[in-house]
Amino acid sequence: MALTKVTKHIIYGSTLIGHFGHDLSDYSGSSASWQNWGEDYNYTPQYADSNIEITCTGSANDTSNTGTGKQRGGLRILVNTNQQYIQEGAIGVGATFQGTTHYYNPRFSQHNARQEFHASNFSTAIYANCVYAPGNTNAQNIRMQVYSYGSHNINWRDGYLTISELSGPGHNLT
Amino acid sequence: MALTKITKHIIHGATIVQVRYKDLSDVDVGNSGAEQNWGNMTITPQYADSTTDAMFSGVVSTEFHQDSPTGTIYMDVDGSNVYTISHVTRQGNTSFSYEQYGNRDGSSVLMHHRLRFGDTNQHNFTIQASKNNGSGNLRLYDGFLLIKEIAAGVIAGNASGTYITDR
Repeated sequence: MALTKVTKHIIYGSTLIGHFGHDLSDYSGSSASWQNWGEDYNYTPQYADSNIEITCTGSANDTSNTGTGKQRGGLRILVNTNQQYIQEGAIGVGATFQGTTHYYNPRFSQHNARQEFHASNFSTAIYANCVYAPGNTNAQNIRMQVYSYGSHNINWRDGYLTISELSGPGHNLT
Repeated sequence: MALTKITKHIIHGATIVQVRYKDLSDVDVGNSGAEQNWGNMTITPQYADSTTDAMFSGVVSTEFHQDSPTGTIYMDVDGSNVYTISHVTRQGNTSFSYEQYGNRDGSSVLMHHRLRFGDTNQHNFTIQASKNNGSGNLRLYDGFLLIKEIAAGVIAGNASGTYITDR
């Protein structure tokens, strides 16, 4: 007779039930509405009282010129099309000035010397992490989405998504 | 007689077989494109079907004036790159009509990756970083590398180890 494996039920604390990871294809866009970043994945929990931990790493690169508005890009984790976690302004470009100004240059005793300035092409690293309790053993569709506010073109690169199922008891204790 | 410990073979689900971690020394060097070693750590899986979970965090900092270097970090295993994140830091292209002072840009970075080696050989994880251009140094601060061996049990992976799925 085959032995029955030890399950989480007789272990004090939390156990790692399942784990998954995959690369996300790069996405580039300037849409103010949510767009998919890379591929989704269906994960089916083994237990209804499990917790699902999701992490995503990567980078965001805003290639547009700064304006005087508050341009920004954000990202979120979707679970079964519902927003589970959001990072507003994960990359933000809020320039306070663009264009030409006049000033006094004491070195050459210049008045009304003109200074011109513009900036573009900012980047930052991305890290998103959340844990939630699905409360059932139905398939969980997990996907990353991104947006850009202010018509800035943002390259979302080198994403890697991990999903881990942690057994319920012993997790999130205080 | 000493009791024999429970192993992953009789547990439903996954177990964490081992955890290794290391602080990486700070790096402060001139750099213009070459991948600069930040630090490394080895791990030897106890089981051939284990998944290796690697997480790295730290700070990548560059300096800029009118040019603006782009920071990139790399995770290499046994000399081959397995995960790269480009554009982890970049302050932006700027142009001025007259001389300006430059400044420094920094970004908190995190890499999370999972691999399946399919053997029990010792594997060497190396974290590297680079900036593509610009004056000034590349500064790598406060690196921390955490690697876990997770006994497979319910997860399989493809041959390249870049896609781990199929419970």
